[in-house]
Amino acid sequence: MASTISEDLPGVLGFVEDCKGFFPGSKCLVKRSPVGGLGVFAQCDLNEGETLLQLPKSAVFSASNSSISNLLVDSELDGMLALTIAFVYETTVFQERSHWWPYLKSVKIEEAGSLYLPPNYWPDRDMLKGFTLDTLYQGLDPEPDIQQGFQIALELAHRWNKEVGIPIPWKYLDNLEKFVACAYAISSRVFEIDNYHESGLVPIADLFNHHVSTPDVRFVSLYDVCSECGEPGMCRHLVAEALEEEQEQEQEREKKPPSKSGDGLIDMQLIKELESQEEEEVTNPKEKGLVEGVQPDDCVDIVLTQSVPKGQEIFNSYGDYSNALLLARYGFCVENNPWDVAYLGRDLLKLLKDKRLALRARWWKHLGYPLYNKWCALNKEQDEQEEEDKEEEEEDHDEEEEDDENDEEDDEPYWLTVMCIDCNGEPSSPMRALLNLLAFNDRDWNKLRSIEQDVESTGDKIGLLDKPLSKGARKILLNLVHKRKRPVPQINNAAARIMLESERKILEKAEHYLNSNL
Amino acid sequence: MAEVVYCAGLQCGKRTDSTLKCPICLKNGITSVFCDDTCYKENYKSHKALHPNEKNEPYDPFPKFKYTGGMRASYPLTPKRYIPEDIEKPDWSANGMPISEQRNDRLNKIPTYTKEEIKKIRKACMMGREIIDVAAAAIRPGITTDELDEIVHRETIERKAYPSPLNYYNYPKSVCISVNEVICHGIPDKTVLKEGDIVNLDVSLYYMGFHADLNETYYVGENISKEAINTVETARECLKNAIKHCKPGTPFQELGDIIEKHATENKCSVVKSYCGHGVGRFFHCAPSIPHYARNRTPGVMRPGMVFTVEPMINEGVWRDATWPDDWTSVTQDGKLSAQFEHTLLVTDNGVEILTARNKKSPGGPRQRTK
Repeated sequence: MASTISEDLPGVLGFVEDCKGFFPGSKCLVKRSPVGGLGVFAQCDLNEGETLLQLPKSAVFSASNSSISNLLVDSELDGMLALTIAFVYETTVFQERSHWWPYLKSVKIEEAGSLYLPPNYWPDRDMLKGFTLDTLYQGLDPEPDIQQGFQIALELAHRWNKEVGIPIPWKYLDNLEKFVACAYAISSRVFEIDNYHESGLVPIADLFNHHVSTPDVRFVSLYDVCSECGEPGMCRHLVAEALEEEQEQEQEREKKPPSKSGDGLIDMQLIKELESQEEEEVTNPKEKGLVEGVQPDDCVDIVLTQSVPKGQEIFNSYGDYSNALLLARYGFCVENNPWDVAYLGRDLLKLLKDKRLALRARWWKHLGYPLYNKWCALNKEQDEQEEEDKEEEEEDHDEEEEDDENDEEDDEPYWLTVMCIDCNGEPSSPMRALLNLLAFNDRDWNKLRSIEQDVESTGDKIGLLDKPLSKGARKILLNLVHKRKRPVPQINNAAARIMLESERKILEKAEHYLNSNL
Repeated sequence: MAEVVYCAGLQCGKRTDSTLKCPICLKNGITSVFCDDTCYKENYKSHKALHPNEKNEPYDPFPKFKYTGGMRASYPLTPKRYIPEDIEKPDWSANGMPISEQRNDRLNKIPTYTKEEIKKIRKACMMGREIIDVAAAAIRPGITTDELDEIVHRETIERKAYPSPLNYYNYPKSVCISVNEVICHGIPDKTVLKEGDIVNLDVSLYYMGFHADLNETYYVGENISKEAINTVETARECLKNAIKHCKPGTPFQELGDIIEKHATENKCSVVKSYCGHGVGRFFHCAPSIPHYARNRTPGVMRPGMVFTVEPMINEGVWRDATWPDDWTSVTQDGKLSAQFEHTLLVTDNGVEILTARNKKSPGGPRQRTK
């Protein structure tokens, strides 16, 4: 999306050079990419483990590094909102006066007079109603967070104008949409830096395009630093803390009368020894990095995780995201995205209103689904780690579910959000289980209902659900898919068209898969 | 009543009942008492600076060191000067560690002060001006930097203030005195000032809970090279230009541009390793204010902030090196370096120079010569 344009590239490269950043032209070339905008390409054969970019953290644009950092701290603001407001000031109030400008001006919030906005601000957003972006991610709903953030930004702008005499950045604060565009531009580029800087914009690192399956690089940054000064290892805050403790202990001891006290003269022999020791003293050489005068721990890196032959584009991965999420966060979509899904939860909910099925759905929601997950975690060894992660996530969600039992229409409960068809047209494993459950005859259903909470002692009855789709289940699903299919609207945004097209293909594949299995 | 005795170790400084003395010091008429052998061992490196050589005349303690210019360390140092009991001391006075400053300074938390606090800071700054003026008036060919330290120390404690540098991270003296190619943090010693030298006095003091910090570069005698005058006057003008720019809403990163522009126009360079800083409740705290161009230091000025601007301007290259005393910073090419510093207060509409010169202040600008 809001991708860097070629005209801004010299400024960005100059900025990196000014920061003594390491980005060797012998290894990488930035040029137009066939996937859109600019991309980074291998200038020669590159090997796994090579560092392509190393920048001091002082060259990362974060709220902490910004001109108004102290005002943000005074106002107790942090996180993405602080970063967005910092960006607004740096690029409007300070502009050329700020030394961030050569880089930040490359972060565009509009093109040819029209703002880059997330789908929920598109004039034709209603065309996306009922598709996965809407139903699974609520990607068309207004976000209260950003509206609230905008109000805070406005209030602070007035206060800072009055107290500090800084002009109000009307350029980006005169309406909500411009502020949203700033937040969107930042969210599409942001990197997690560390617990001092939190999130930040990293020049050059943000030029690597996303690859859905085989990224070549990863972003490296030491996260665990002092949250007060950003320094790795023993910073002055930790030193002072240790000293203070030491002194407290000493005070305890000193309550007794001074114990050891010498008298007379220091032994000349001791002085001689000390004199000879002096010579041996050596200072530890500091670890040398690729940035002059900066320790590697104080830098962020882009490192190759696999070899890339000369001439090929070098890709990063922004995460295993479906097209709807890519669109909502980054403004682009990928054809044949292996992480793409079509969401059937809403259609399923309608179906579950049927009295007979409603009983089974309730059971699934409260007992079956948690048990099924535990069973999977125990029985599917190969995905152990993955399942464990999922389980943790689900435990969190279970708690949430208790609270908002009644407003299912607003917030998709977690068990429902996994009711998806994957890029091959196949249902997710919990969806397969639920469909099988719904298709069970009464005898099997009663058998399942007798399961108690304890998976291990009652054996693997729940595993009955982990079978290929039964004939009945396939019918139910086919019915859902049919209902879900709709013509692809001709929406203005090209990335959204890719998303809708991809969703259509997934449903088609599902149809094909189900028909061929019937 | 017995005299209160403190351990002579700069990293200890505790009150002690010990009578264990350094024999070398004693032979030279100095009483240095240590808690015990361990204290002596731990503090030996800094303590031995007090020891004379065999010939009992000033000597260079680092004969193997490759000095970059003509200046040399000239030892022995005089012992840590006495602070009367009734003077309020900062937390580093005994063992050298400014713990409260280290604990409380947060990079992006730039303190602003109340009217009451500013009153006290202003008072400290005025005293700083008085003290530096007295010391500057004593500058002449033939005086040693240690004698100037004695003046600064005396004038400071006379005003019931503590000389902030004393034992700050174990800095051994009460003032920093930087001659010719010394950029900053020169330690007063047996060095004798001579005609044509330039010398910077960096005076800081702690009074009623607040620090003041100022420095100024002075000419020694009348016969000054045109290079020296250009370097000193450029530094003086750099500070003046930067101060003009200070007002609420100014980002700190802009000061470096102004300073470096003027330095470059006068064929000088700007030191990068040392920065201006917040001052007040702490000797050094946020903000950090680099003096070189295109820096990206965070923060913007708001009324009630107190900080220093103190550009170090070099005749030659900007790069610095440090002597083995771990303090004295010198130019890498051995050419001259000059510096000026004020403590500044951001007001509602601009800035107030809290350490401003007055009509009677010694020193001041000289005409550049061709």
